[in-house]
Amino acid sequence: MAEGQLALDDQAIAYVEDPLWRWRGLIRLGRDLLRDKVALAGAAIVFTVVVSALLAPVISPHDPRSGYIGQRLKGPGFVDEEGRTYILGTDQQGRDVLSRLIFGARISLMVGVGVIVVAGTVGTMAGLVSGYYGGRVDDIIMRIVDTQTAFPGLLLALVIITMIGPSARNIIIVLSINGWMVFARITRGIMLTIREKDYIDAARLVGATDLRIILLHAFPNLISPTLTLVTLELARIILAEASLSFLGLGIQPPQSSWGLMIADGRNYITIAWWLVTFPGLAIALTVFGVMTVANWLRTVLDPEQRVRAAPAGTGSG
Amino acid sequence: MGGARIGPTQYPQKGVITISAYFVRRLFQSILVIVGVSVVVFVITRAIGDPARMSLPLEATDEEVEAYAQRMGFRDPLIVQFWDWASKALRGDFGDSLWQRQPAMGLVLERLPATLQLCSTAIVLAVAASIPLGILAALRPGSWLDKLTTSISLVGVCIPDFWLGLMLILLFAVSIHLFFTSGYGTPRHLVLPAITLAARPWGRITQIVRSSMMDEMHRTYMMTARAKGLSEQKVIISHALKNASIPIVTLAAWELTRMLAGYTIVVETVFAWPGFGLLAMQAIEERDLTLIQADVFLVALIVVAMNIAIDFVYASLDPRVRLN
Repeated sequence: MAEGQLALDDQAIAYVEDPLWRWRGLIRLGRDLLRDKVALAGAAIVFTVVVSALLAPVISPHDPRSGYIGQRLKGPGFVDEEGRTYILGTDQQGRDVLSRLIFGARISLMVGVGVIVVAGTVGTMAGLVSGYYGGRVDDIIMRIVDTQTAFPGLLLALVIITMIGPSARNIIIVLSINGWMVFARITRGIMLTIREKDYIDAARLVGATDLRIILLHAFPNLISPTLTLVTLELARIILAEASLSFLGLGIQPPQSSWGLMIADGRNYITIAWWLVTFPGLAIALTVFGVMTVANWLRTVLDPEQRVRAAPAGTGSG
Repeated sequence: MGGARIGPTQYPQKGVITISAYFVRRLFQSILVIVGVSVVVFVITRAIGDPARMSLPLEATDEEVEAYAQRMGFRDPLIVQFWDWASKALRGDFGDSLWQRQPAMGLVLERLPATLQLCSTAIVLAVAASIPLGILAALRPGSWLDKLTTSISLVGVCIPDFWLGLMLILLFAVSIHLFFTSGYGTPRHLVLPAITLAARPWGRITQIVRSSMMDEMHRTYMMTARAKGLSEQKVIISHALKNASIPIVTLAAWELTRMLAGYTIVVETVFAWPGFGLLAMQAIEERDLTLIQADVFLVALIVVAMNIAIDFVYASLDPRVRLN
């Protein structure tokens, strides 16, 4: 009680001395990011891709779905009769490559976020239940996780997608079936360690329900490791979607996806290098950006560093 | 790991029992994986959509489809169909490929050497290129060489393999005609697909060589080794690298498993490399259910065998790890 009071007073004093105290944590994160050049570059790439995806109809210079066949396969920097520039050239149907790249970012991120939401929710729930209850439930769930981890994932994904038909929604389903196990494992591991903590016992003693304990006391511990895992998984999923679309079992025309653009451009590789080169660069740069941010998050959110930075008791929600 | 750690010299009999008990459990899990994969593929290929309709040409009439389905047993209950398939599969009969009209498993096994050749070349290439680079980076943390190594190993991990393959084709086969764009047979055919497949494992292994070597460099035994008057080369190779080898070998084996588990498909497709990955892709395009089933079965078998092998290698490298 007294300690709680003290903490409150500290906060009050901090507020008087420094009106920005609530944002200090974020400001420090930002400052760390500015110092780390590679992470900054990664964050800038991710920011660009996200903005492109959100504002695709506004910022894309041309219609990504229609083109003039008379000006097909024109190289980067091509200017048509009306003076419009095609910075990255046109494809086999005369469509603007840059506009298609920008709309492709939408698909990549949509599939990525979709899989994270589905696989992350299912996996985290399974891990929570497994780690919290232990015993038989834990045995069954972890046996499923182990068995499925040993499955040839990509091959099965290809077979399933062939049968249920390729589409953005089905890619999300298939990649989620493939990806929930990592979330279950990490959540269970953390749950096993906090299950024995005194504050969980205390919560149980005062009569908190299992649901309340899991949501209010266990869940906050999961946020930072899961955040790192989410970014790493995002990179993996973007690559997987690109591979599926490249093989013709992913996004279907007339939608544009980076993997699909490479598959289409492959037939013209000897006469139009830009068709394959730019979408590939887009994938590689995006994955690079996401991975760099993941690496940076891992060091910043490392529990040991966090404990040193913020003394115990100042809960951050 | 976890569990009781029993030193091999103290209680040899107990160690042996643990290993065989472990082996039994692992075998059980392996069977579970193979059966699980087979059931999943079986159910998916037969329950979703009409397998008879998919195997026949588009212009086939409903009567023809129905007659074909009856003949192939596609109208029987799924469990009866699976039992039929499984009991034959146990005797080595995986049915005939609908597309090639030959025993399906024979077709898959025919493709096995090409995939094994490609994957083993790629992993040898990846390990051979990553160890010296990783060590050099670990010796001088923060140097330009270290920074270069860290960034290009990250590039190796980020680059989509099919794109890297196409870029290599563009550079070395289209522009300067040094290697072949596709095909199989000579080392000149092998170079580009092997490099393409090696890129990702190379990046990941380089990262782990660097980080585990850096961990070992600060250990006290390194000081002892130097104090004994050993040459720096000997200290690094036979002390630090030996101790850092466990995570390196494990990761390399895991990357090899990942390739065999289906990630060669993309590279084999790009280079028309006649392995079982390309065959899987062709079977999928032809909607050849028996061939898909046989291909996935073999891949599952390989993955399971690799996983067991990894555990044993791990245990034999690190005497502290007892299998349980």
